[in-house]
Amino acid sequence: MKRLLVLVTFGVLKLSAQQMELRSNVTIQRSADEATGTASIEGTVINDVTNAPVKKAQVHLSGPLRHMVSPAVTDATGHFAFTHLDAGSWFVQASHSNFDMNRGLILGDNHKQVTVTADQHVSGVELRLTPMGSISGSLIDEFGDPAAGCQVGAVSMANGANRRPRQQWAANSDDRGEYQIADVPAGRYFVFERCPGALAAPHGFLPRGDPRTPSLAFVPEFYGGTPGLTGATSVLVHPGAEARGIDFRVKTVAASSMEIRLASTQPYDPKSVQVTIRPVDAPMWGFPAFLDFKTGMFRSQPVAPGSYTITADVFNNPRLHGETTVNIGKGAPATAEVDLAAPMSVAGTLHMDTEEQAERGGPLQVMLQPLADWYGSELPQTTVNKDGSFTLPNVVVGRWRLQVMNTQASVRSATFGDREISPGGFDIVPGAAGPLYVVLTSKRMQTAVRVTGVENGTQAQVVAWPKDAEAGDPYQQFSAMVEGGSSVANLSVPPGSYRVYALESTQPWAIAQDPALWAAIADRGKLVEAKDDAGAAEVNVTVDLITRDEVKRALDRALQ
Amino acid sequence: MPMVSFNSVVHAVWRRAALLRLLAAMSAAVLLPAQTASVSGTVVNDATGAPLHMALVTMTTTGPKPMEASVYTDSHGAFTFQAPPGSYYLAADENGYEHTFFGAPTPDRAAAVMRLHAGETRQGIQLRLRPFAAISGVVVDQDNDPIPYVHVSAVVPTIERGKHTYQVRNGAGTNARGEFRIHQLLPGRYYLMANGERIQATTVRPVVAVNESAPQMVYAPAYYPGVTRIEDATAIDVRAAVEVRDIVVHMEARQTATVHGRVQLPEGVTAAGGLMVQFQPTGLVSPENLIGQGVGADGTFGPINLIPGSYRVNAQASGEIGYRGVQDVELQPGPQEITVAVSRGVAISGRLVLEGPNAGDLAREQVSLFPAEKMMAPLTEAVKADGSFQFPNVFPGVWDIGVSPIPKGGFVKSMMLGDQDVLTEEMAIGPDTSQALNIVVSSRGGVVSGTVEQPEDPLADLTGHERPRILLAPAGKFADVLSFFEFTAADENGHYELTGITPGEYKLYAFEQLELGAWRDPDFMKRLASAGKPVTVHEGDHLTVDTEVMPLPPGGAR
Repeated sequence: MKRLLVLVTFGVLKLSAQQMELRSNVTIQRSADEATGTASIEGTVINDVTNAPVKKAQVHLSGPLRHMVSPAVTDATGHFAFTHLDAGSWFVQASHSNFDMNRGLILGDNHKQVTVTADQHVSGVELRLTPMGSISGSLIDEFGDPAAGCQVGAVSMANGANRRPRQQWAANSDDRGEYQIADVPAGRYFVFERCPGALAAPHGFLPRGDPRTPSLAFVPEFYGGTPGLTGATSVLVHPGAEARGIDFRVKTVAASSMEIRLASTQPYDPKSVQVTIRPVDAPMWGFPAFLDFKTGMFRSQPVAPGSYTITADVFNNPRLHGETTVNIGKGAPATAEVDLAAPMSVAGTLHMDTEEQAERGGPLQVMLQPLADWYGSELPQTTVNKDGSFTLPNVVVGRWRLQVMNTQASVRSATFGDREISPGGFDIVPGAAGPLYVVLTSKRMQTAVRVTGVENGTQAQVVAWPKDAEAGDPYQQFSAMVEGGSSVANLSVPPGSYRVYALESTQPWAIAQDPALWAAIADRGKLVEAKDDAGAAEVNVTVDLITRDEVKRALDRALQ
Repeated sequence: MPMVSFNSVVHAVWRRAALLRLLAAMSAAVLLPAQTASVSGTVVNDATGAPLHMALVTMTTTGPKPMEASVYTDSHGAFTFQAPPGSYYLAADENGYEHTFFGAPTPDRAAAVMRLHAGETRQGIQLRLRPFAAISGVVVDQDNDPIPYVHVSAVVPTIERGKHTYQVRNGAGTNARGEFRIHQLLPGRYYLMANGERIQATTVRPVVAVNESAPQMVYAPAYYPGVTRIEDATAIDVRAAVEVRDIVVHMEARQTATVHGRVQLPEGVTAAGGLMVQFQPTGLVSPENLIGQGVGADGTFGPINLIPGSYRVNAQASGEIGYRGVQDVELQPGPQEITVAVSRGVAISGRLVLEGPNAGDLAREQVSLFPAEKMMAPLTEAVKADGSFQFPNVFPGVWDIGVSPIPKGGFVKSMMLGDQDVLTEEMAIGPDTSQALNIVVSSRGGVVSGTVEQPEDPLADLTGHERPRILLAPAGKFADVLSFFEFTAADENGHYELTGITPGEYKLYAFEQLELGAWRDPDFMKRLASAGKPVTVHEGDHLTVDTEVMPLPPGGAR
C-alpha cells in the first residue's frame, strides 16, 4: 500500500525539481578536433575487496582548466583511457554508485595524480574502489505475520558530544515483511524499525470515525529491543557484504493519540502549520499530527505510549515555531499545549581585530548552523551591514555553530549576551537574547611543524584543529603541505590554541568525523598555542606522520 | 475498509494485531442492551479454504450515520459479534487478501444486508477472502546489467470515453539490484511497464578524448519483455495467490532530446504571470507523469532533457489572466527548439432554467466544466438568481458539463451550446466559440421500479441474500451517452427503484453480478443488445417493470 502511494504522488511540481537538476547538467558541446595534445593515460578500476575489475565505473579526469573532459565509463575489464592530452599533471578519480566514495578519499586509493610529457603514454593506472555493504532482515509481528510497509533505518553516529546522527539509510519492508538497506558504507550502525499508521483495535459499536475508536500502534524500536540508542545493539557492515538476519519482532500496544492545542499571540493560518511528534532521544523520523477542522486543534496519529517531542512550525507569514516534550499514554494528559512564537531575531556585530578588510568575494554573511539531531526549519543567516552590524532571523532555542562567510578572516572569539561562547558549538537557551558579538582576526601566526616519517617523493598534510572543538568535530581547519625531503611545514594559524596532526591522507576532515578513525589518531596530535603578543617567538613543533596504512588498519580494526 | 481515526490520512498499514489480553480488554468495554442478536462465523482463504487467523471483521449499520464494531478472528478463523437488532453490512479484511463483504465474494456483486432480530443467533457464516498474487523479476539494461530505482507498473486494459486504453493497477520500484516485486494483484492479465525517465543511464565508454562531449543518456520506458509500444507487449497471466517470478524487463539507453523553447504571448501582451510548460508523453500509459518547467521572464524555457518520442506540450499561465497553448511535438535525440503560442480562452456565458415542482433555488446552483484533457483544471461558477452564469476564460478543448445540485428525482433535460446538443454530444470549445450555453434541469425525472424474480435460496441467511444488480441502459440514438445510464442494486427481496431518469428509450437488465462501470465498454453493450426489457420513459412517469435475473452474455463484462 505504501509503495502504491509513492507511485501516485508523481506530481508536476515534484518533477520540476528533478528537471532543474537536469537543467544544470548541460552537455558541453565542443568538438574533439580542438584537442591537440598527444599524451594519454589509461588504467583499470579494481574492486578492493574481490580484486575483480569494476564495470561501468565513472572515471573523471581533471587538469588544465581550458579542457573539458567528460567522464569515461569502464568496460567489463575495468579499462579506461583518456587520449589527446596535453603535457602536464592530471588528476584521475574513479567512482561508482555501489562503491564507497568517502573511504576511497580517506585511503587515497580511488584517485591518482598522473604527470605526462608530450607524446607520453602512461598505462597501468590502478584505481581501487571499496564496495558498499547492505543490511537486510525481516519484520514480523507477535503472531509471526509479516509487518509490511514499515520503515527500517540505519544510523551511523558522528563524533562530538551531541551524538548527532552522521548519516542515515533507509528501506521499507515489503508485503512479506522483508527489507534490504542497500549501498551502506562499511561501518557500525544502529538499526531501527518504525511502522507508521495505526491498526484497528477490536471494539463495540461506535459511530464511524469516532475519536474514541481504539487503535493499536506498533512500537518503534532499535535493534536490540531498546526505545533509543542506549543499550541498542549495533550492526557491523563489512565492505561488499550483507549483514543478514537483522530481524525485528514488532510489538503492538494500545495506541494513544494526543490532542495538541497551539497557542499564539499572532494570528496564523492553521492550514499552513506542520505538527510532528517524535520519540525523545531516538534519532528517527517523526509522526505527523493532523488538523481537526471541527475543533481547530491538531491530533497526533495514534502512537505507542512514551515520551515525545512535539514540534509545530508555521512556515508562511508569520514564521512561528514551538516545541514541547510530553508523555503520551495511560495516565498522561490527553491534551498538550504548544506555544507558538516567532523565532528570535538576534542582533550582533562583527569586529575585525586589524585594519584589514574582512570582506572577500562578496558581502560578509553570518550564519548559525544547527547542531540539533533534527532540524527542518529555515537557517538563521544574514548579510552583515557595512558598519559590522547584523540581525540574525529565525533563531530558535537549541545548540548552534557560528559561521562567517565571504572572508579570509577567522572567528577569534565570540560572546552571546555576557557569556563567552565557542564558535564551534554553543547553546541558545530560552530567554536568551544576545547580542552576538564576534571578533574576526586576519592575523596569522607562523608555526614550523616538523613531520617525522615522511618518505622522499611523497606528500603529507599538516592540519591544525581548534583545541576547544568537541572530540572529532573540528569546526575549523588550517592546513599546509609537506613535501617529502623537506619535512617541515610552515603552518599559519590565527591566534589561538590548536592540536596539530600530520596525515598522509588528503581528507583529514573526513578522518576526524569517523568515530573509529578519530579514536585511533586523537592522541597523536601536538598542542600548539599561537599567541599574538608582540615579540612572541615562532612556535616549533614536531609531529609524527599518520600513514595511510595506519588509517587503513584502524578502519579494518573497527570492522572486527 | 473499517475505520481507524487516522486511516484516511496516514497511510494506515493493515496488518493483524496484538496481544490477546489487550484485545479481550478492549472488546469487553461495550455494554449492550438485552435481547441482542448473536452472529458468528469464520473467515477463510478462498483459494485453499484454510481459516485466517487475526483477520479483522467489521459490522456496520446500513442507515445514515453508520455505527461500527470490529473483532479479530481467532486461530480457527472464527469470529462472534453481539449486536442490537437491526440491518448490517459485514466485511472482512486481512493483509494479502482482498477486502470482502458478506454476500459479495467478488466486487461485481452487491454487499448483502444482514437483518438481525432480537434474540436471534446466527451461526455458520463464512467470509471467503481472495488472496492476492504478485509479479516479481528484474529490470536490466542493454548490457543485461540491472537498473536500480526504476518504477515498474502493472497495467490493465480499461475504457475511457468509449475508447480502449490502459491504466496502472499497481507498481513497485526496483531495488539496488534491479529487482522488483509488485504485490496486491488480483488474478488477471497484466502488462508490465518500466519507467526510469529520470535515471541517468550509464553506457560503457572506456576511451574518451579530451574535449569530446558525452551525450546525456536516459532509459526509454519499456513494456515487458522489452518493447516500446504496449501493443507489442507480452501479457502476463496471474492466478490467485501465485507469484509469477523471474520476469526480466529490458530497457534501452537512449540519448536525450534537449529542448529549448519559447512561449509566444498574444500580440500586445508583454507578460503573463505563473507561466509554465509541461510535457505529456502521448504514446505512454500513465500520462500523469508530466515533466514541467517554469518559463523565464523573457518567455524562454529549457534546456529540458526528455526521452525522444511524441509529446504534447502544454504552456499555461496561472496568473490573474490565464493563457494557454498546446503544441504536439516529435522529439529527436539532441538539441531542439520549440515555440508554443498561447492565447486567452473564450468567455462562455449561459443560463440555467429549473423546471417542475420543488426544482430548487437558482441562486444555490453551480455549473462546472470538466476538461477531457488532464493538463487542465476543472472550472466552477455560481449561478445568479436570474439563472445566468459566466465562465470568463475557457480554453479550447473538449469539456464535460456538470450542474449541482440536481433536485431530488430530477434530471438534466437539455444542454445546448447555441444549437448544438451538448447533453448527448461532446462540447468542443474552439478559439471562436461565442454561443451561449443553455441548460434546463427538471425535477420531474422518470421513476422505474419493480421486482426481480429470484429463486428461493434456503442458505441465504448464511451466504447473504442476493441483491441483483440493475442496469438501465439508453437504447437507440443515445445508446452511448454515459450520463443516461442508471445502475443500482435490488434489496434482498428483489425490489429496486431508479429515480431521476432522463425521458427516452431504455433497456432494463438484471444480473447476479456486474462490475461497476462495465457499461462503459461499447463491446459489452453490443453483446447485450438482443437481451433486456425495453422501457420507454416520459417526463414524470412512474413505471413498474418486473424482470428476472439474466445470465451475462458470453465473454462476461470484458
